[in-house]
Parts: sequence; C-alpha cells; structure tokens
Amino acid sequence: MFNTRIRVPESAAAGEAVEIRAMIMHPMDNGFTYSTQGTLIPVNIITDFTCRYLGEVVVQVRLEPGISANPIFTFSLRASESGPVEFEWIDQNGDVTTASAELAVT
Amino acid sequence: MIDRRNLLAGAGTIMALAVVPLPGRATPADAAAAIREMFGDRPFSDGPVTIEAPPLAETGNSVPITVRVERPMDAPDRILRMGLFSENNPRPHLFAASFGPAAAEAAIATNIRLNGTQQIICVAEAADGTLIRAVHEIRVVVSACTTLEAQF
Repeated sequence: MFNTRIRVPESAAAGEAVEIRAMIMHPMDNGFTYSTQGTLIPVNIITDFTCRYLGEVVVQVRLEPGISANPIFTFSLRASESGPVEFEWIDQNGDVTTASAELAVT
Repeated sequence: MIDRRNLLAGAGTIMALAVVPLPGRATPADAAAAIREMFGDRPFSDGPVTIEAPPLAETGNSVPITVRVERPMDAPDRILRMGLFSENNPRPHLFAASFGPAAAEAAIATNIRLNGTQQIICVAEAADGTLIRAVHEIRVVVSACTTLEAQF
C-alpha cells in the first residue's frame, strides 16, 4: 500500500541488542488542518504498527493523530537466532502494509 | 466619517471573525483522565523512566522524542507497555507501545506533533502491576495545529 523504509542490520551476534528503524510514508492527517481550498482535511492515519522477530512480538504501537507525518519508530531487539524480522502497519481503513528483512545471527 | 483609525479597527474585527475556530485543547485534567482510562486509578512509584526530547522545538510538527526505561527485560518487573500523553494537544493521547519478549529494552523513539509549549507525560506499566511516570516540558515556538489555519 504505502512505501516503507526499514533498517535491520544484516548480521548480529547472539544476545546482541540490535537497533531497528521502521518508517512508512503516510501523511497522518490529524483532522485539524485545512486544504488550500479551505476545506477540512479528514482524519487519515495509521493506527497500528507491529514488529515481529521469529514470530514473536518485539514492539506493538497504537498510533494517534499526535504522531508526525511519515511515522518512524526506532527500537531494539535481542538477537537470538537467524530469522525474519517482520513489520506490519494497519491504517484506519484496515489496509495492511507489510515489510520484512532477514537477520543473520552468528 | 471614515478615518484611518476606524478603518483599521473595522478591518481588525473582520479578520478576527474570519479566523477559523481553533480545535479544542486538552487540559492537564484531560491528560490525567486519559492516563486513568488506560492504566486505571493506581498510584505511581519511582522508577528509571526517562523522556529524551529537545527542551525547545522550533516547530511542533515533528518533535523527536525517545522514551526509555532502564530496566532489564528479563526482570520480574519488566516493562510491558507504556503510554505517552500530552497536556495541550487536541487529543491527550500521543501513542501507546507494548513490548514483547524479543525486545532488548523498553525504549522507543519517534516524532510527535505538539500544539504549543506543554508538559509530556510518560506512564509505563511493569509486569508486577506497578506504574512509573516521567514528565518532560517542551517549549514549542510554532504549534503543529495552528500553522495551516493561520495561512488560510
């Protein structure tokens, strides 16, 4: 649905804390701003973000209109074994955007 | 008789009427109510929760903020979820995050919108049910909500 940019290191040592960044290109209209024609722009936001590593939830975020446009989240996960890091965004209409990367653990 | 002073006063009145009404603002009481709704009416205890944000933001449209709890994630009182609340935005909620077993630490960074100078409150809930809280004041030069309304 929307363009995403994720940053996951290619490899990590077992037990290492790995910094993950995930961003989605989305206007996050908060329902309080006006277009150039003077009409109110309705609320249009991403409501949920989830990151999973090896199928387990790393972080789950409930977004509100108070989050800036193109929401970016930076957090860290504990590397244990090689596997996928999956990202999922859900917008207010229920549309799902996904992205994933492989993390190799040495 | 129309002189310059009357004309200016009249123009001022017309401009004031043309201004789009501001969105309602939350108050500190609204933020407290939002915290009670999410975490229940429980006392706060001391804990190592910090909010890292600039003391002064030039624009409220995008303020980088990091919320961190310095506590190991395998401790019995590890952090399960946290919420960030605003005392002056139209909605007091900013975001709510929950951390799973794969998280290395209870920390998350993002960019938020702020409607003017205010205090940001972070409340974190530990696995043993205790609540810890941090408060951070951010001065905002240009609000995220009023910039567009002033233009149109």
